[in-house]
Amino acid sequence: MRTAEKRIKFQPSKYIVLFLLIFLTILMTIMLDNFFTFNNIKNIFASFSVYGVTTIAMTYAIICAEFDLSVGSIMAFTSLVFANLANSTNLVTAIIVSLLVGLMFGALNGVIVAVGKVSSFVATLGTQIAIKGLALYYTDGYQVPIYSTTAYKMGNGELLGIPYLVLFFFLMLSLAWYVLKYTRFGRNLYAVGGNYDMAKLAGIKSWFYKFMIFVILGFCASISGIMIACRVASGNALHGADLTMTAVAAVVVGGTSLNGGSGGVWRTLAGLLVIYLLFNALTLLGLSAYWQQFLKGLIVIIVIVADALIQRHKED
Amino acid sequence: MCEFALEMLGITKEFPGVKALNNVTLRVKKGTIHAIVGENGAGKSTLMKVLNGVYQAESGEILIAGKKVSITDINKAQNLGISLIFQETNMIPQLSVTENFFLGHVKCKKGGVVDWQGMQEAVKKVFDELGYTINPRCLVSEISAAEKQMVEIARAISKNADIIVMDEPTSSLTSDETERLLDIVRKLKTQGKTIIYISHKLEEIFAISDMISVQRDGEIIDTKPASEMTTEEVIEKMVGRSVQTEYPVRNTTPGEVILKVESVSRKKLVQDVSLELHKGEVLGLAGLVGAGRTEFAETIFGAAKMTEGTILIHGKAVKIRNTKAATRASIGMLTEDRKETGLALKASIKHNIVISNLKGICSAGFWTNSKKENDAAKKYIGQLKIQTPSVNQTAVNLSGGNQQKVIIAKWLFSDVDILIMDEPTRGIDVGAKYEIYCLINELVAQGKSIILISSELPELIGMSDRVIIMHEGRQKGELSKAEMTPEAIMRLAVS
Amino acid sequence: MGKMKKNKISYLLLDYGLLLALLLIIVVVSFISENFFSTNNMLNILRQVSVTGVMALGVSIVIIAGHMDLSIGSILSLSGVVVMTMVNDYSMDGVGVLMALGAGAAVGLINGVIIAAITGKKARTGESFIITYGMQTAIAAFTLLVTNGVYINGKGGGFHSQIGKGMWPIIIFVGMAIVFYLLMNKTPFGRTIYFIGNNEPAARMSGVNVKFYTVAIFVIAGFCAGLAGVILSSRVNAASSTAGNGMELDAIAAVVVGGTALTGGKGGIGRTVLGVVVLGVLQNALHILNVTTYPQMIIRGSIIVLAVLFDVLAGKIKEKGGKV
Repeated sequence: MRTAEKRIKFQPSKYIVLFLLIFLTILMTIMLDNFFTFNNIKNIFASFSVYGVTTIAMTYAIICAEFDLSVGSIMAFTSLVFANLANSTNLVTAIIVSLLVGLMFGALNGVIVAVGKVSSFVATLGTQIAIKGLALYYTDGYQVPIYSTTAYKMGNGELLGIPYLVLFFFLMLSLAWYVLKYTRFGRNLYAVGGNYDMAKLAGIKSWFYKFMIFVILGFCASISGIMIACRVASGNALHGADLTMTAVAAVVVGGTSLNGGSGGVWRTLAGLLVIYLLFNALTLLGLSAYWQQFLKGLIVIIVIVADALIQRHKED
Repeated sequence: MCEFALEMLGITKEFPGVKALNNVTLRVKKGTIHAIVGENGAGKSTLMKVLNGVYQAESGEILIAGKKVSITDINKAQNLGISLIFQETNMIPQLSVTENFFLGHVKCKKGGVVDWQGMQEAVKKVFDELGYTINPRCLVSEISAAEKQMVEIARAISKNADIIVMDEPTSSLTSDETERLLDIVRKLKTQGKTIIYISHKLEEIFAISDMISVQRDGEIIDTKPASEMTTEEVIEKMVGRSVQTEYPVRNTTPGEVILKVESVSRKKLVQDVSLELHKGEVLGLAGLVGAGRTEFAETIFGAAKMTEGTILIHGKAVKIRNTKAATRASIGMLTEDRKETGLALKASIKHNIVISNLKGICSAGFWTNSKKENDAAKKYIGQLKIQTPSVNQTAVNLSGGNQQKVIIAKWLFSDVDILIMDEPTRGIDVGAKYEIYCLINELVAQGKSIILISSELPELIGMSDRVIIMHEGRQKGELSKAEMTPEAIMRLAVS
Repeated sequence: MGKMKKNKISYLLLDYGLLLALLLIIVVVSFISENFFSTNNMLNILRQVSVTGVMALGVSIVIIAGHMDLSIGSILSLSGVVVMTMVNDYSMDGVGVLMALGAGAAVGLINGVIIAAITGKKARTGESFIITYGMQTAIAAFTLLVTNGVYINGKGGGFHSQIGKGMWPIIIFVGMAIVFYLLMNKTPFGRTIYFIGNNEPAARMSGVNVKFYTVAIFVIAGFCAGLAGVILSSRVNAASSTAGNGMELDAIAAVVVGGTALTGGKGGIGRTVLGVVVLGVLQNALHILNVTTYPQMIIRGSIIVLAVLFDVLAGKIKEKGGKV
């Protein structure tokens, strides 16, 4: 179609996740009794807020065409550090040190991938197990219960009926959205993800953006670690075992392309909602947690295959 | 006050084995449209890459507005007001037009907030000046090739380019889009810009140029005002010698029909193409870039899906679903981009030669035999005069001509009856070109059939027994040996 | 002539540098501990690495072709569960083993078909990474569902329990290595795999049925992971859904350390065997030095990071040095 005035085409594929969300919500309200209760909805949001923060960071990473498998281990390690420090010193110190730990691991990943020019998949596969080993070694595999009631209140308290964790998540989400849309940093992220070399030619320090992505990921993973530690009042090396998979699934379902250069955090929110709605349905139907894990892996594969097949069709 | 916006004096540029530019002198007057014409491999793009800072010349100097300059990289060139617009656009497809415009220098308001409105308005302003109606908020992936060109031009202007170089800008455009582009170029001239226009489409050249420089074999042969030149004169200077003696003589007559293609279509790229190929024949396939020749070839070769049509080999219908089926049907293909799809650059020559016919180096069933492999490689290295110290030399170290010979050797070793050659002599020096022409004649003498896709009209005319012209995916006509002239082919290719 | 020689030496160093470094560590350790260099210990090491080794053989073919398979860990668990169930509940050892191998190949088939379907005509963009990563999660969950998270203890005494005893694991590993070596170096199949890893679009345009090979390599990797699962379940006389967790890392690390580049087209079975043995010896050395599980994890992770960094570095140096 060669029109002179190019209107922006309406792309249905962009809105699939939204349709899916609405469809699922309606379906589940009809079919499951206890679905549309305030408590249940509140639980859904509360449960994804913890992973949600790192999922936002994962959105940034995927926009920049990168991956991080080690966020789960960073989250676990941070939860242990936080727990220990919360018990031995005060909360403020615990939070600051935990965040620093996250930044440090993020920087480590960043140096390996952005400077070493290594595949982020394999590199973070390695750091994932190394950091997990570190976490297990740190407390010899033991959980660390947190005695601070303030921490517990942070993790479970509510403001006007909405959990603090949920509020915090939305705060991070809004901040992340603003940075992506209205700062030079955010816009350059899209450029670097779209085409690393072309962005470099245009004068953008591409390697730096790649480096920062991992720093952001580490930082957010540590936030998630603090959040979960407060919520369940304990640090544990097993926290975050399925963080990467969940985050990637949410981003991918939300419609952000794994090739980089496009996407956004609101889409990821929609993706998160869809996934957690499905999980909620599984729970309400009485199915074990293993189904959730199976679904996660399946969803990622299905979405990627569907997306790729559509692309191939367009190419031909 | 210098009348020349650009002077390139005595530029020489060499690559391993090839002297791409030989003491080139080019003077471009300010505010004119200056065309550079020449065949493929004449060195036009190389010269412009030297101007743009991508390459550094071994000798010679460049003057901008009378002042000597040293252009070490693209940024330097841009700062000097030079902007180069290629066929393959330098934009990121996932981003919008506006974002590509401001790539690397996003406009911000006070406090670091991205100024979306300001950027959109700036782009709109430039677009209005040029008379565009493209919506700046569209993604680059959504606009057509012609529109991408237009955006590139606008981007160049917004960067205050004084000298705009356009390298084959209309190769992917329809005739309407070409007209629009030429209007824009004329408008740029009224704004005082200096345009260097590289193309081998002589009609366009004569439609808009003030001056024409003809480049051949790395030298600028002549520069004259367009009004003082004729098409024949330009062609003669481009080719340098009469078309006939350039190419080795062939005295074979084609035999029976070996390949028959009926109503082959591939979505919108190839529409209802039918042709016949005879034994011992070279069938030329002419057309502008984007005419669908490569797409057609890929379909026959099984590299792309045919949406409609039939292929008959020796009268029997065959289903060519993938390239393996094609090679089984004795069809081979020399691709356009030998580095991307022709050779495994990191592998050795011998590995590249035997890959299409591994059975040929097996003994006792399915064990590969190194001796057979080495022998086969040595045989073709000798036969095709491939210059290399050993069979184990990595393919990436060969010159373009020798790389092409390796790929030809691959298909010789597979003993295919039908060989499709897509731009076989692109980027190859004159000596190697002639050798490849002789090879083609040898193959034909042995009874092989060749489909020759080429954008070099002299080559097509010199080597083909017949020529079929394509345009926008359709067949436009067929010319016999007697009928094929550059003008006749061009007329059909552009209609 | 002297420069050529220097280049050759530096190439050798690049190719085998990491290996040399590790061998050095091993020499040092054997001075510290006496039992280290005993026949018994060496055989034990070989027996221990046979599981990872078989997995590594399969995945090296995938890597040489330029892909990746992260699902082999969960395939190992699955096949262990399959064979153990057949042994325990039905006393059908032979059939159980065949079913386990079949299960591995079947998952590999799914991987291969999906990846073959979505790989585009132009250069690759790492589809196999994310697909096999998702598959790993899915298969692990599937195994969990089937076993309900329960650990299966074997009855022992049958054909299956013999596989893991004595010299059998070593024989299987060495036998597979020989078969794969011949496959990759002496058959058209192997030749084609190297070519595909070098330049897939060029392979396609040379008449190679790339889709077939893509499916084949993942079936092979799945089969090998299945075989590894059979051996492991026999050795420990048990199976669980978490048996293979993290083992894909060890297998891939062995391949990379051995010198096979992740970009594809280079490397080989011999190198993988070398990598497997060296890492196995390293693990044994750590064990003798009383390094516990958790620090071992740290070391395992660090090795693969170092290995890929070195791989990229070596590639860059070769590129510069290789210009004639």
